[in-house]
Amino acid sequence: MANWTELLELPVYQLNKADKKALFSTELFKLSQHHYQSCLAYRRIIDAVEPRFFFKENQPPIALAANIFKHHFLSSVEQQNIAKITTSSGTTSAQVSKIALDKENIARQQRVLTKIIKQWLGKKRLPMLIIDHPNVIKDKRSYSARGVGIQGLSLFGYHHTYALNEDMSINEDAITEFFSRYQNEKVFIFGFTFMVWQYFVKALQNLARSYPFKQGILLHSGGWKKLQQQAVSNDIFKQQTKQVLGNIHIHNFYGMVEQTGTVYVECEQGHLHCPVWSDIQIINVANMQELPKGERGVIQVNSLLPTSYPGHAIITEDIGILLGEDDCQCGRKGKYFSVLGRIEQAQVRGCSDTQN
Amino acid sequence: MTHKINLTELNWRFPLISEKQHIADIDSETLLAPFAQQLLDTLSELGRYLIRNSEKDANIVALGFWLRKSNLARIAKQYAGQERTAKGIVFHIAPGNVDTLFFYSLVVALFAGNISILRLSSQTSVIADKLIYLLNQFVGSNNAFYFLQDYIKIVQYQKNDQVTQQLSKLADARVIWGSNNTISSISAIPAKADAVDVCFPDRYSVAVIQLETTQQVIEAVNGLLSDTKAFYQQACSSPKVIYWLNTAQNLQQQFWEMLSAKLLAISDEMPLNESEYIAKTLYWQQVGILSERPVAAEVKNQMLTLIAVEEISREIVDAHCGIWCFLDMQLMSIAQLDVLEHCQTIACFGVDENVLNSKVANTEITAKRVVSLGQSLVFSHIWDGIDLIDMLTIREK
Ligand SMILES: [Zn+2]
Repeated sequence: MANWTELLELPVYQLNKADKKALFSTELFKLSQHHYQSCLAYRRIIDAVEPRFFFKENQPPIALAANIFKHHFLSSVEQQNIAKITTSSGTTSAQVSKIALDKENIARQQRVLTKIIKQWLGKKRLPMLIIDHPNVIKDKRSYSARGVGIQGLSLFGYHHTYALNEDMSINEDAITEFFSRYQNEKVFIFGFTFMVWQYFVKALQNLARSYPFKQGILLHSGGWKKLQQQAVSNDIFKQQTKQVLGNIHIHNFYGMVEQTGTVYVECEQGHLHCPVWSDIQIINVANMQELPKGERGVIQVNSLLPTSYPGHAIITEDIGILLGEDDCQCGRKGKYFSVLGRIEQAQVRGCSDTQN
Repeated sequence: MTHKINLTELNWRFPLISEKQHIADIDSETLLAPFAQQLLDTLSELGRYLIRNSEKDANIVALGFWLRKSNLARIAKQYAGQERTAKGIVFHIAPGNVDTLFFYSLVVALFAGNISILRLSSQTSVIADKLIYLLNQFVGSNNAFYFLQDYIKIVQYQKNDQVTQQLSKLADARVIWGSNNTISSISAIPAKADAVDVCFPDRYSVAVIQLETTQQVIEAVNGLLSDTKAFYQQACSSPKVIYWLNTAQNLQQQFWEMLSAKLLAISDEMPLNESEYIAKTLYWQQVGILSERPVAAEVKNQMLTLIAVEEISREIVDAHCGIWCFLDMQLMSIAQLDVLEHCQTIACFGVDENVLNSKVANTEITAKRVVSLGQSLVFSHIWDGIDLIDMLTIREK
């Protein structure tokens, strides 16, 4: 298996194309071997489609459909070593993804997340404003994706202040107190994209309130679907957020519960960047072939992290486009891309039952 | 007895009269005689109208063809000499994404002299919308058809037990399509005291194919194509499992190659979206996990996925996404054929239908009907083994 002491020492955004390719082809193959040997369900999937998979060295992994984690519990560790099961938010669908994590994977995810986030926040902890309500993390047994996200990122801040009340109304007192104390310092603001927009930016605009921080960083994540419905682009989002929060840096990031840790943060050019430990491919799902730069397709995410569940190569339900590799104007190496939205829903036909 | 309830706020799709009075007008004393000449004439006219305006949609053409006078007369003849009267008000509850089945149950109820209320869910398929549009156009095209407005009421609403309850109170019979859960939850809502529920739960279907010559290949391919094309293999009657009876591997191969090519040729007219491609991938991966026995999945092309299996389970069938994923099993003899309890149709090719029919009759296997390959989607008034005409009429002793 991978030597994580060494892997963690790698600079986050400096590996070039050739080196990354070499690293990923060997490490992903090792992960395929590991999961084949450790997870019966994964073994059956590989045997079903490519019984001779392991006769060819460094074969690219067979990517699993992300939804497989909603239908089946796939674990590559003994039951007693599962330390935590994270689940996707699943607010709209009844089924949620269940991801088996052992202590090692939990620690690794946190370490990788720390490495990546520090690239953007700097080394020091910052005063942190969370655009959510405090109860979202209270129920520790049912970690929602929102709860997990807030928990994970809280480690980079102190004086955690929640900007919303439980009914999603804005908690002006809390924000005012936070602002009066830290308006001249570098602050860390975090929230889910839609929440930031709907319950914070819009709400402050309605109240004609603004909190012009002198310096700070807003990291936000989550789907753009609801914002697209309101015709809110990333540019509009940034521009109007700055109207209420001052001239802060705003970075979107992309990530998923199936590969927690390796988030893809948007650079100053507005491009999402692959960290050294994970990679993306844009796939034409009609034939599962990789698409070249500039073509729209489904995003496949590959990660070196997962050893407790076979999630090292996953076909997401997101549409994206590869913008380039190693040559972003921001200077970071690796692939950079953008996410265009979710895949279109399946057609409604046949006699399958949707009594809604 | 006239029922007066305030449901006029709902989205009534047919008839579109402005007063929105139709639900209050339902009067079971205006029932028609089953198979009345007026019904025979009007329904066959409707059939012709549908074919003319089908824009070559094969499902609408098939519906129109089914409504031809000779077919209706043939059905009526099966009940000749029996004293039957219409049951009354029939409440059809269909998920919005059903194929054209809901329309068949509507016209069968009408042909039996009944008044129908059809509930569609908030999400309707393109074809359901088109059929409703055509029905409205048809009725408006001639005074002689106006009376249909008194016999058919189509309403669309999001799942709402209150509304279903109010409509159920009017019903002398309910025709319920859907999953076992849906059926039991609707059955729990009371209808009239002597009302009957006619339930059509989720089913799946299979095909048994025996090929001996290359000449048979093309015929069998065309049969399977017409059984699966209409609803992208998602109709309950479309075969999901192919049982090969003593068929040489090279003929099976020829069969799949030809089907694969034909599906590719229609991929422009029946494009799949990204969700559907991913659903196909998810499905073969799920079958891999769900089967205790070896599985061999082969993605032939963007349209066709073959999954050779050695066993079929309820879970494997329930996970099926349609869209031309075929579970593929080998049989040495008909005696080996076994199907799950909820099997609806066995389509066969090169196999003696009588043998299968007697297996079904002797309850060795539990399918509802045996048809020739290519006929799986052809509707019959006896559906899932239930005689709809019988259920929707009262036979005088
Ligand atoms: Zn960049």
